[in-house]
Amino acid sequence: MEVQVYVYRMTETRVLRKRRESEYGRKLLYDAVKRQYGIALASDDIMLSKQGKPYFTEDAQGKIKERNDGLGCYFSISHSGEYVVCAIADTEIGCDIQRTRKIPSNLYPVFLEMKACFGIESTEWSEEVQTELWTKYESLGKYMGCGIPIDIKDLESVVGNVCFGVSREIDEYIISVCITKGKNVEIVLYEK
Amino acid sequence: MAGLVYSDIDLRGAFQYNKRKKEKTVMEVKEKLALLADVLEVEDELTPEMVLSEIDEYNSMAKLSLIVMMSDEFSKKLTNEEIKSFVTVQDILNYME
Repeated sequence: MEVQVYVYRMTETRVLRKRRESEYGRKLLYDAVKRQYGIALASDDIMLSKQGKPYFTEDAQGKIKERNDGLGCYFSISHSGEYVVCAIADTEIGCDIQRTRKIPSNLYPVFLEMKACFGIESTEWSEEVQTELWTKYESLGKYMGCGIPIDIKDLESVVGNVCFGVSREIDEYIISVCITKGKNVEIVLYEK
Repeated sequence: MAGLVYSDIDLRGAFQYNKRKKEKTVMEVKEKLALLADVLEVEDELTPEMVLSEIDEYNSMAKLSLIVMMSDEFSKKLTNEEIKSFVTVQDILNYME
């Protein structure tokens, strides 16, 4: 299945970017739904779960289903550096963008656990490998709607039920999406 | 007269104790800020009143790093809910006890 990832590059200073990234994420989502389904959403069409995961109300999902062969719409928003991305799909989804970086040294043991959990056997440990692993981990956390999955062992039972897609189309950044297993992931980027 | 002398000594002692205590507290805050700056990998100096949502480096990786640091240094298990409740650097410092 195709996962659409809408991308916006912020041009403001660091401080302003940080203040506006949520607003840009929401605008990207509205644009994505407008472009994909021709529906203009309002702010009250989006709710927050107890864990803080945003989702469409039943009413909004109903409107989308009418235009999407009975399928709903799920989304996930992420920011890193200059970029904001919003991924949409017709299955539950988690998305993460991260500028390629070295992980903090106190996270090495956690990353080794993550590596084992995701079944990565490669001995290469470059910044790219570390960043990709991180984006997969975070997209999985967003897919699960639990925020930062603190206990890596809790992920082991979920990892087998999902699949990931990775994009390196934006220089120095890696985007991962996580969706329910059984569907192929094909990431299509739309730059605004 | 003797009572006054003792009283003066007591006051001086109390003053010295409070001064030392204050210096220790200031030092501890500095240490905590340094530790936090290290964990968050911030380039600029952190101050207690800084708003976390405005610190560029305060992202999800920094939050996981914070969780690990709290566990390693303070034997505290920080939850997602507690992280969400942090608004300023001071909120994190208060947790670093």
